[in-house]
Amino acid sequence: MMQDFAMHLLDLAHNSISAKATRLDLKVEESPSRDVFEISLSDDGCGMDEATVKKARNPFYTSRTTRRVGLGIPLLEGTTKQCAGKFHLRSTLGKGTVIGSTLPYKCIDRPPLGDVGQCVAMILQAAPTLHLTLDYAYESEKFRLDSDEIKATLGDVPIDEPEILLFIQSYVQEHIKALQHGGKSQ
Amino acid sequence: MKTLQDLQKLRDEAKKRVSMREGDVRYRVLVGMATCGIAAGARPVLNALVEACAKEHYDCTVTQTGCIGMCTYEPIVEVLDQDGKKTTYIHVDAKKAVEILESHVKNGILLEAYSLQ
Repeated sequence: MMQDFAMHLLDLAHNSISAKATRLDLKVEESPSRDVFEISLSDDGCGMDEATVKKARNPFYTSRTTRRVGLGIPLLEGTTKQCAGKFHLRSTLGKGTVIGSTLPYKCIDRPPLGDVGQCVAMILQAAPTLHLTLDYAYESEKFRLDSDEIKATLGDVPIDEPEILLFIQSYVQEHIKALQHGGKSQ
Repeated sequence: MKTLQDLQKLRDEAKKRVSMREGDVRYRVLVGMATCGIAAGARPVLNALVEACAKEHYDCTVTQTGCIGMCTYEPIVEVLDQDGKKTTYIHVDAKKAVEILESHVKNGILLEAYSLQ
């Protein structure tokens, strides 16, 4: 069981990395007023054919050989179902994969969003060459992080230096928190 | 609130440090970050390792790996030395992770209490 959605994001991002994605777009939207909570990942990895997409939702399917279960996708689908949300998984072989969930924001069974800053930093630690973007929205307020923008600022300093990762982590945390609190006081 | 200008300052400091570091590191620290690892709490462990390395500049690299195949022992941290000798630490949490760095990576003393026998 994943405690929060940031963990789902981190877990599913590893699928994209394994699929040799060069680009990964994360989207997170929170809207209490519209009762919407949405996360999605979109990558340009190797993708899956239709049969594999179906199998990927089965916990007893995995493409790996170290074990016989693959729980990442079924866990997100399970969490989504328990909140009567909508889960989607679309993939085109050779093009990439889009996976995500839309849930009612106010559902009592919905796990919290969790630490997206840590999630983003840990994805970049796993795959420093990845072009990663995060689009976060709270109601109509938006925050965007683009790893290429950070790399342009960094020059020849690697993005996976511990100090840089910690900066990215708190940079994301602070911006998300500010939007969430701004929204609450309105 | 942090801005990208703050990152520029940090870059100049990091640059000095990166150029100072030379040759191979003594240890490779691997954290299992598959579904089983993440669900068991590997993210705070990895984060603690990265944080400690940013502060103490241990002679190691921290990298993520997939499922090691022993899901019940997650979170797992593997420490590999230059000869390829591997020590597997199991049921690691953020506190134990820092202890492993201090003892094993810094002082070369294996922590048998946390390792897989």
